[in-house]
Amino acid sequence: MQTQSLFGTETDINTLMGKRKRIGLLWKVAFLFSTTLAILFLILLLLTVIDSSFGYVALRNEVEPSSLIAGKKSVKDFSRAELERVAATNLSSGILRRVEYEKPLEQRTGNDLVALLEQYVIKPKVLKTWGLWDSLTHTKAIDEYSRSEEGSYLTFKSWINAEFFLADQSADPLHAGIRTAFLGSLWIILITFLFAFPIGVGSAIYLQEYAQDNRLNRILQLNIFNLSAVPSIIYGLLGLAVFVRAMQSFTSGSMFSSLTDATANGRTILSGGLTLGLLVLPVIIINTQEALKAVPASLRMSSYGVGATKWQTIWHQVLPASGERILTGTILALSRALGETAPLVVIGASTFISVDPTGIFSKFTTLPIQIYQWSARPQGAYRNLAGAAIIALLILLMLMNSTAIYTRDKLAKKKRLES
Amino acid sequence: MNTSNLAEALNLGFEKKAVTHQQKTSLTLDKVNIRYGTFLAVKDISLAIYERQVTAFIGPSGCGKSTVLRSINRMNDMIRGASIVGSVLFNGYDLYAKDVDPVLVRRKIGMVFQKPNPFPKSIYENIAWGARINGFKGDYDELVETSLRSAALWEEVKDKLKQNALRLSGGQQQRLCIARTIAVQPEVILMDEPASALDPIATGKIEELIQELKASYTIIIVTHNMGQASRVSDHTAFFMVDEQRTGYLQEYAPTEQLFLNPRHKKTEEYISGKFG
Amino acid sequence: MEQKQKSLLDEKMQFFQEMLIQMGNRVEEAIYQAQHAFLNHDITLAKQVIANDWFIDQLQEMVENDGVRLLVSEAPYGHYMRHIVAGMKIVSNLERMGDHATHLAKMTISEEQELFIPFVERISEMALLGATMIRKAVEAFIEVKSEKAMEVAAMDDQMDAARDALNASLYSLKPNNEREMKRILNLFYLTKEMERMGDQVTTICRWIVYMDKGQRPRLNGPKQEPSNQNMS
Repeated sequence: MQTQSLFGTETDINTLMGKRKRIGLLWKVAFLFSTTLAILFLILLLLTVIDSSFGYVALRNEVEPSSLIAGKKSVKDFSRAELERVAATNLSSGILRRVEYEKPLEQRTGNDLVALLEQYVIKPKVLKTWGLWDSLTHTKAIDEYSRSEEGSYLTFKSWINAEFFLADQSADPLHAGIRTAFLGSLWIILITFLFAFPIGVGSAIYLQEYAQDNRLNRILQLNIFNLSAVPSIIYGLLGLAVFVRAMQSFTSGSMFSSLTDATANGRTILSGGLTLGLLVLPVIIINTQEALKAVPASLRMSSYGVGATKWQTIWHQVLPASGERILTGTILALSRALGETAPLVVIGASTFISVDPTGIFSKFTTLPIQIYQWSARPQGAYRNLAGAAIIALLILLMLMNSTAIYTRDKLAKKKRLES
Repeated sequence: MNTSNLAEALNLGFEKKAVTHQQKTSLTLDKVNIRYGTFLAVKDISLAIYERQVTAFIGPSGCGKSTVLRSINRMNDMIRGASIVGSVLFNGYDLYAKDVDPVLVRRKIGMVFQKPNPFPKSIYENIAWGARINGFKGDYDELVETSLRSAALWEEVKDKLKQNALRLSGGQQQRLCIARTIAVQPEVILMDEPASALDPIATGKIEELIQELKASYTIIIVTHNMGQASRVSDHTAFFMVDEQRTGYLQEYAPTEQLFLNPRHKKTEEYISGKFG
Repeated sequence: MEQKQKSLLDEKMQFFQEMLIQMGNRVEEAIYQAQHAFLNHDITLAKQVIANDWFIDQLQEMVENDGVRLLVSEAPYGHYMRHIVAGMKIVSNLERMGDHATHLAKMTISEEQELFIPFVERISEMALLGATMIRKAVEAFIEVKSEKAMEVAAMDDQMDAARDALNASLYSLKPNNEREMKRILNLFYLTKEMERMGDQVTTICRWIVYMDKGQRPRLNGPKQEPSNQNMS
């Protein structure tokens, strides 16, 4: 064999082959290790969140149900007549008046009355909460605590439940919910989308299809790249200065006087949406440009070849061909916006708000901000609430992304099969 | 007495249509020089393209034959930095005059590319779209059928017009591209190496198609394949490249003459495969 | 790589040409020898000429096979194509000329020479002219010079003139017996054969002009197109 002269002996070849394979194996193991590490951390995150969302709670009632109706340990056991009677007699006058005004006691459902009594009469107070792990493993310690505390009792609470979604913010952790924050997030994302998508895609089309390749445009391109890397809090400051203060009459709606929520001044959903819109705008532009670049030149050439104008080519050929990618990129950008906290805090999301947003000129709060606020509070129960809210946020994100992927796949299938 | 008269007198039937002796000029290139930026790609190209005949452009790589082809339907406008000096006359009209709309030019002078590139749409839509954006008001079904028949593709796809065009084979895709070019009713069809990406059978079908299309359209074909040029074309233009990598027209003659008795040594060397 | 490719096809063409030149040389030799044998009633030489014809036929076969192979495998253009096509045609003419030489040789074997000696000499001269013509034609072929070929073709006029003169003389002869009659008829035949040789060379020259210029002009003198009346 000729190979002997230039490639060494057969043993040399075999030794080298072994070495080459070993190096390859080494790299493979390194990559596998890094992947495993990443997955481990993600699992850890998930476990932490789940841990704080379920667990035992030690409660103490201010007024025991048995003191109101003898022999009944829980308000839920009260009869209908008893519920009304206790409510009428034990609710403070102010609260009673307001409750009657909203809806008379006779018309309210049993569950409604139970909730009222719980909230305003029984007033269970949270003494201590435990996470899921602790709840499962340290039951003895929990029992001891409960016995040591006078009048306390334990319940196993799942912090994430239907009530959680439907209730609004409340000082009482047991009755707190994310409804307001959830709606706020949805409204903001809607405004962000309506603002950033047309402008972003339009700019990208201009830059990619129409603009000349001269110095000015190259500088412009570079600046867009830089803007996408700017910390989000800077956008918050920008939004504060421009949308909240300078454009106050527009963003607060006082321009359109019939629609105002007079207390909002400039710190409205509109401002928040526009600020986040600016934040994701560079990302959408860059992503759309990449999608347009990925469309092969041959498609454009063949379109021109049958006598199409530039716009006809873009609208009928280039955009449909790149549509999927543009959509995916936009959804990703919006998912990021959904999780933004700092800029909206700077804009002035309300710290405590119990009224749902009614329109773009409303005050607002968002899910991430709610999570931030709850996790900053000292009482342990709020940690659990934060965990539950994180799960809610994750569910929302998953829904958004799944819808995007589903829509994209459906479009792709349609495209593959027919025109 | 010439050959065709004699053949008539002897009652010999011609299977192929004889080359008509009245050759009307469809396109004229006069001293065309094309630059990309400062680089001179082709210089002083002057030739006449005859109506309803097939003209082949041959020559080594980089000699500018594709550049000249693209300049005929103003596709060179797409390339940044491309500039042209000299005139390209189509039925007497200067295609580069100030008031000429390149979009209309490209309708009259269609183009088929090397790699088959149908639109990522259905077969039907591939043909109908071009017509639609140009304001076609007739029966679309009929247009699609006529175009596909002219491209020798109708029988193969008539049952699956709604299928995505990208699922066709390479040869079928190329014929579809020809069909969509025909649908907008051009006078001239430019083909840039239309069969070079296809297998021999598909290539053969394309060559046959070109012979049929010749009856209705003026065709200019750029090709690397000497056999194809000699089989398919009536006139052949041989382009060469000089030391500055600028292309020029070396020889232009009826195909039989150029391939059997070329006047220039370089022509003969090229067609005999000495370089390329 | 270019240079190598160049020499490959050119080498094949060279081989093709060589065989034709060989054949031309052999034909010239055959005519010359047949003429010598005829003049001197050399039966041994005549037999040799007849035997050598086999080589000429072999060469024809080789040239034809090689030509077809070149056309199929090389699909040539330009002068290559012209040379191969011309070569395929020329080879037929050369082979026919070889046959004429053979016929002359056969006549030598079968006939008494003492009759009509002057005619024998004149026929020999015609044969010599033929040999000269073929030699010059081979030269024109080697150089691919159409001017030279046309000069050779012009020599056919001499051949025609010689034939006309010989025929006239032969017509005036009065045979005395059957032997003489037979002899005169054979002389007519040989005259025609020699004249035909001239025509063959002329055709070869037409093809040499084709090799050089790509055209095939008529070189045998004007041939009238028939008038329309004859075409019904």
